[in-house]
Amino acid sequence: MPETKNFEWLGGLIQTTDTLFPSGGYAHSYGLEELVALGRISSGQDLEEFLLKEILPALENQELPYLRFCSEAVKNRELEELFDLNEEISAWKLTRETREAGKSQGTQMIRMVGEIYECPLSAEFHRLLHERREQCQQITATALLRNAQQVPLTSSMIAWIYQAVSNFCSASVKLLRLGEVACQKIIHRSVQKDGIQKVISKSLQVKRANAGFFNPMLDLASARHELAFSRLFIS
Amino acid sequence: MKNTFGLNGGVQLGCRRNGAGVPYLSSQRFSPPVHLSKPYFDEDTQSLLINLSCPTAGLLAGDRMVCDIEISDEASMVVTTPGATRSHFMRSGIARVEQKLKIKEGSFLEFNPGALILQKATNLEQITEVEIDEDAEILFVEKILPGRIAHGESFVFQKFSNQLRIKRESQLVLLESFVLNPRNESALPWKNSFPTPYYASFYLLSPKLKEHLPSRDKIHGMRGSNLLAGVTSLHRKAGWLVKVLAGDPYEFKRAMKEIRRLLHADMGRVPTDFRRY
Repeated sequence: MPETKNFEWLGGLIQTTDTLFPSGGYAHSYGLEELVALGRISSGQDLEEFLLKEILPALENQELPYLRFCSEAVKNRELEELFDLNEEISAWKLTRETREAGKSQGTQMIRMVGEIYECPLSAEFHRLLHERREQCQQITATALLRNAQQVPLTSSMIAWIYQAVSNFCSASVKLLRLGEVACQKIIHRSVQKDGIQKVISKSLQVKRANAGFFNPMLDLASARHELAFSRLFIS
Repeated sequence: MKNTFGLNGGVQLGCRRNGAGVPYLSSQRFSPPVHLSKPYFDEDTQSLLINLSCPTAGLLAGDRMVCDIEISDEASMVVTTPGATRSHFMRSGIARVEQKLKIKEGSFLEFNPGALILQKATNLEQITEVEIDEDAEILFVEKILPGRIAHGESFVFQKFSNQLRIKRESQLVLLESFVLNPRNESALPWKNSFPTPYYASFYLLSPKLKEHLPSRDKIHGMRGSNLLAGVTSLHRKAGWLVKVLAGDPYEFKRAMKEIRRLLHADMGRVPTDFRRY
């Protein structure tokens, strides 16, 4: 396979996808803790099925299209459009827990963009949010970050999928007592080439009017987790 | 462009209060596939009860049904249907439902129709827009069944596209959008929740309930092997969302009735009797 010479962005992408990068993702289970408590997920096999049949389709139909819409707004320097998209993301994150997780991670990320990169557009958007007393969602901040890093859209989408899958797997180590090898095997199967290509190519066809996904059980679990008697993860 | 729709009709209602403070229909217009029964004023709840019925027995291919409701002047109105709304078999074409609800000037609207049944091979598109003033209240209820479950029909509809937007003081506080097609993964999370899953959502916006929903713990406590409910707050603390999944029609019905009673109590209201006989 010919190796592209244009890989300047790769180091930045790896750095900001790594768990050492302070995004705070490790503190959230995104509803998984309550699904385990309800007995809906109790093994590595259940987790893998959940990732392949519920999480990847949700990424395909909702999060990845919105990452693309935000990336396009950033590319076109349309900050009002980006602001509207940021609002829509907060409105379709149906539970307080997932909405607040997105905001806290996004706020941390846009701050880090300002610390690490020279990006006047991110700084301007950050100022706009501050002025309007709004918070940045993680998807919005990621679009700004990837633009600052000049990461191609497809690579940004693959990184987003990886992070989503690995966040669930990381939480499952504590919740299901999965071993590291089992966990890595699940991640490997979830992000294998054919599956990822299918998810990305389908997500590229999703229009804004149709973007969304229906998972009432996960919504319900996330809502219940907010009041759970004992919790390992933030709500 | 050729109009491929069958019946193109619906209902337009305006509700205000008269000099005595009694809510009345200040404007009304309806056409098939909707029929409007005579409004009933419930003295106990001070609400105007409206029953919308469907003379064609449900939605058929090519139908377009518009429901446009505006309530103002501190009026109180409850809109329901005498039974379930069936979206029927469609060989080709789609049915489309457009709902626009405006609640203004300290008014209250409960929009609580019977369940929507997605029958075999049906193809339905539903778009709902809710606009509410800061001082107004709404209880919007959606119940969806994946087929005629009692007849063993489940998840054999063709496609269901649903979008709900709620704006308070022109700010978006909820956007729920999805397309379900049982032939791909889109319907799997719902399908796998219970063997025959009954689904409902309550969307409650009230200036009285910004920080706390008193019945939240009780609703979470309504848990059984065939029933789960979850409550969460909306964006901008605009209100509350209650989701219900049940694997049994009787538990579902009981839970729906009890949650409705609890949410009304949280608003300091009493539920209006639907008068379904």
